[in-house]
Amino acid sequence: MTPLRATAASHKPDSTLPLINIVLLLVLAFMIAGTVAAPLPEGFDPLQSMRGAPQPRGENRVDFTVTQSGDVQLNGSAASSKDLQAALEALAETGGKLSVKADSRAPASAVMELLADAETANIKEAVVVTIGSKP
Amino acid sequence: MGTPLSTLGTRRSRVQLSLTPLIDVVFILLVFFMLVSQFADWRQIDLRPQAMLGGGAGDTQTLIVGLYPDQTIRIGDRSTQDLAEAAAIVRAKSTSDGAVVIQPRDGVAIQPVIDLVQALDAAEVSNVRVDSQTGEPMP
Repeated sequence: MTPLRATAASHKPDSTLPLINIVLLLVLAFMIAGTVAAPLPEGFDPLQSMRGAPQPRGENRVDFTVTQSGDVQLNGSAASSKDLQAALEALAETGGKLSVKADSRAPASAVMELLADAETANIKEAVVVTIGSKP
Repeated sequence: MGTPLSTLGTRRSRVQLSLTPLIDVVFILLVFFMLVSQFADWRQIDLRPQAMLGGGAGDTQTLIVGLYPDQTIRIGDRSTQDLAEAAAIVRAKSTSDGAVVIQPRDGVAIQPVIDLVQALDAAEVSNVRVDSQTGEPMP
């Protein structure tokens, strides 16, 4: 038989504080260790390299993405050539850095034309972003 | 009629703060950061286009390296598909004050260009540029 005391025990509230603590720790870990960035296009295969310098955090930069077909995207969304030109000029005025994330299968000409446009817009620093190891 | 003070005091002592909304918010934050956080080891390479050079590709001090879609690398009259061999040839042919210009032909993807730039960097070849105009490499 079930003792009557079991009923009283079921009313005892479960402590959720350990659960909250663990979840808060996970949130903090993701906030500190991870980098919040715009998602890459579907099927994007990033460039790979082993000798590049680590990309510093918290710097003033604008991310351009070159897809496999050679299309250029600005901060994760497709942009026209006019928008790109305006973004390059705005970046040059603020003294920011151009960061190009290119698909490894993208035409080299598309990437180099973008870098040349950045140079024409008087952007002082432009880099190609690669990945050290597959995510 | 109002609630008797004696009853009200008893109720107040039994009120407990509900943690459910807090848990909801924290879980939403957790899911958000799990979805948008990236832990990839991003690196950056300074890939300078030829336009940044003062001189043109026809300068005597400029060594032209042609890169073809079949991974063939042509340096002058020599051709190879091995990156290390190509880097050694470039190192032997280049001068300390000259520039090395990589000319990717039409149809060449960016990854082989990066691989070649890294191979030249590993061979301590300096002043490497990439031509922004693809086409037939100069002989």
